[in-house]
Amino acid sequence: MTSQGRSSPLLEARNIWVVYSDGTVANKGVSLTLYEGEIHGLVGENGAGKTSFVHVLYGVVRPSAGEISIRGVKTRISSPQDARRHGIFMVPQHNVLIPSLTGIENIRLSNGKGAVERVHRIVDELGLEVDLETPVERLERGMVKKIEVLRALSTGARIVILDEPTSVMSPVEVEDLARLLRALRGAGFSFIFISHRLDEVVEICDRVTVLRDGQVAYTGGVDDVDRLYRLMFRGEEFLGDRHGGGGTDLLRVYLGIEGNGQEELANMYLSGSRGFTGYVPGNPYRAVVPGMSLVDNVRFRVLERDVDYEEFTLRIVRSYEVVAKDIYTPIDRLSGGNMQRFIVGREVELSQDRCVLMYPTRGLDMRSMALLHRRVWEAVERGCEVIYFTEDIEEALMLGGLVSVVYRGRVSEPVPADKADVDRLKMLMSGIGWS
Amino acid sequence: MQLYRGLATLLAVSIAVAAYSGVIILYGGDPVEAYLKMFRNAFLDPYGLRETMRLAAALGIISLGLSIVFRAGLWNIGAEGQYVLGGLAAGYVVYILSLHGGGPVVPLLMGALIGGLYAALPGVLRWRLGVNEVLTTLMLNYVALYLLYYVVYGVWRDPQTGFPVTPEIPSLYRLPEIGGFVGGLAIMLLLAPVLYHLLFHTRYGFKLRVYGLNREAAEYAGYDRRMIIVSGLFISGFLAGLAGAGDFLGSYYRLMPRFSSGLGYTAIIVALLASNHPLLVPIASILFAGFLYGSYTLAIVADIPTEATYLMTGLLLAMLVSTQYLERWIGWLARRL
Ligand SMILES: Nc1ncnc2c1ncn2[C@@H]1O[C@H](COP(=O)(O)OP(=O)(O)O)[C@@H](O)[C@H]1O
Repeated sequence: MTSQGRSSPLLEARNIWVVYSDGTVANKGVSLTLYEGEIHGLVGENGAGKTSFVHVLYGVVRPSAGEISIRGVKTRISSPQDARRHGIFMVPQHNVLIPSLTGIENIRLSNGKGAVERVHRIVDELGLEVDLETPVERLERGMVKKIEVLRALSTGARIVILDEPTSVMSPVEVEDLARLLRALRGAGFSFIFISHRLDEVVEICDRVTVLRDGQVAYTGGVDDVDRLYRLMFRGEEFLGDRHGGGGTDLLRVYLGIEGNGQEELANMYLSGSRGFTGYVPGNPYRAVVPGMSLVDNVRFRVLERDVDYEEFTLRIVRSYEVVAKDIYTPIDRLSGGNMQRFIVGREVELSQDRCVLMYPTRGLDMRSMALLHRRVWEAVERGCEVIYFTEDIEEALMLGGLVSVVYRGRVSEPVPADKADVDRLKMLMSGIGWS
Repeated sequence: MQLYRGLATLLAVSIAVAAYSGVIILYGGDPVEAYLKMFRNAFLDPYGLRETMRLAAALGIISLGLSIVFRAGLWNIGAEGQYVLGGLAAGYVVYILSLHGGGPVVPLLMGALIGGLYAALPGVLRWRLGVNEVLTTLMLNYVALYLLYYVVYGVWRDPQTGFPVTPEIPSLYRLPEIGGFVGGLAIMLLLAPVLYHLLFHTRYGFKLRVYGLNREAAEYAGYDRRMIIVSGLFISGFLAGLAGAGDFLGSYYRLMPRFSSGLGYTAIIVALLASNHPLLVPIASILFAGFLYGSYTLAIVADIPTEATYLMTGLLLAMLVSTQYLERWIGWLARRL
């Protein structure tokens, strides 16, 4: 399988430093070796420096120090085009294909005829199950991701960087993607796999590099989620223990991939409430005003209410561990994770009798997730009804409450999280077992 | 970001100045000498200064209103029409209704009100039918312009002279000079802090800015979109109408075809130069008025065609509208260095 002993290093990054113009040091001497035919996980909490590191490999960010070798030859990568010439391709988190075209049409359009032939060859040789003939907009997201991987390979790439490829997939789709990656690994392709879902990383990756504060905290094989968690957070114990109190009907958890009718459900909850209803929309950028400070980003939400904005903002920043220079910093200066925690904090703490949270932990690391879960339970304990949407089965089980699966506009019978049958939830999420 | 914005504005101005200098050189002039002459003519010569301030008053009042709607992310391109209609409405009070009480106050307020309503109309079309306000406000400029022609060539034409002008208004209607300058200047200087307060220290102004920065967020917070759109446009039209009535009652004392001289368009540049900040508008409008007047005098004494002025203002507008791109580009450059 992994054959580190046999094969030679395909890519070696040594002692990479990334210093941004504002003085932020995002990578402090990161080294990583990628072997031929390896799926290499890259994990770390938000802000650990994962994105900065892969941006160096992809020529988006210029490192301040360090060197990169490809097949033993020292190389400079100064742009994404350059990276592609060296056989490196990055698949971004969000879909970049043209929705109305099929997979093949997309590949032909972006990379030409030769690329199409190359893809056909790979698909035939490895016997891959990929639908390249249906317009992308009619495909499930897992299939789209598989096509994006093939599109990357169609450029002749040998190394593919996958940025959180599974963040919006159902468990069955994740398994499907894993199958594809394993088949491609057998053919000598290599992958760098960024993910926050540690169970997947353990399942899919041959080796894992853990980043902490811009440094490598660990590189090697990992076969246990708890160990990985401790590596990410300096040996802290796993905070995300399952919460008790499964079955309280104040916490309603809707599990399902976005776009299965969650929007409509959320609107139903938003319209039938008396006091102030907190709401984190699926697209959190709808809930912030760029160019305004954190305080004003609280103020705009409760303009008519008598709130001490400054004090409230400070409270949110503290209890949700938002990293910001001060509360007068423009909100666009915050990193994605911090902005997300800020918005969720604002909505949860403003809520009076109800709070609707759509995918509030999307893109957050497990520690932030555990923190938000604690705050959600505090809200529940003070009598606030929380409607919680998630795409992640692990999260749903960890959070507790009453869980239903949402699929194509249907909602399954709610069950207490601590009595839920994982396999059944997985099947329902994938459309199996509905009467 | 603030820094990059400032640099981008500076860059925009520099490019426009460079282009204007190029034209001066092309006509065999010396740009430095020309700029000095413009400055002397516009600010040091007593008559010139009065003319500059006359222009600055109208430009400034219109720009103050524009700085409000632009902050709401709405493009009112129709200040020219609202200005003209403000003048016409004031004319209606003077020539037709002949309301004496209050002297210039009634026609002034009438002009402002009608200007405001004229701008609110595209606002209503925007929220009811989703019609883009850029098109409607722009088109309504022509309606106002032809209405102006209709009255000065026809029904209100002064029978005493052969020219297409309306009769001079009686002195009781005239807006008095204040401090040796047109009354409008004092109005502009008084309004600037009022509008600053409105924009930055009231709930209404806050909502307006939120709407301009992220419409979806404004809707998310439950703000009334209709109220923001219509009132924002109304305020800008109100001020443009006030400027039109002010010019009619305070400096021309009559209406004529060139009452529509493009100030409403120039004011867009002034508002953008001032980054839509009401306290910067007076400075920007005085400087820009100085440039305008100075360049006109240059056309007369140094044979630099006024087309060069239009070239510069057009270029400046294009550059200012693209400042957000310039801003990004400067940021990118700064990161590379
Ligand atoms: N363009 C940038 N300019 C300044 N700081 C940045 C920039 N991009 C990222 N950072 C900072 O670098 C650190 C590492 O971020 P990042 O590489 O995005 O981590 P991750 O992907 O692990 O969340 C963070 O503190 C982040 O705020």
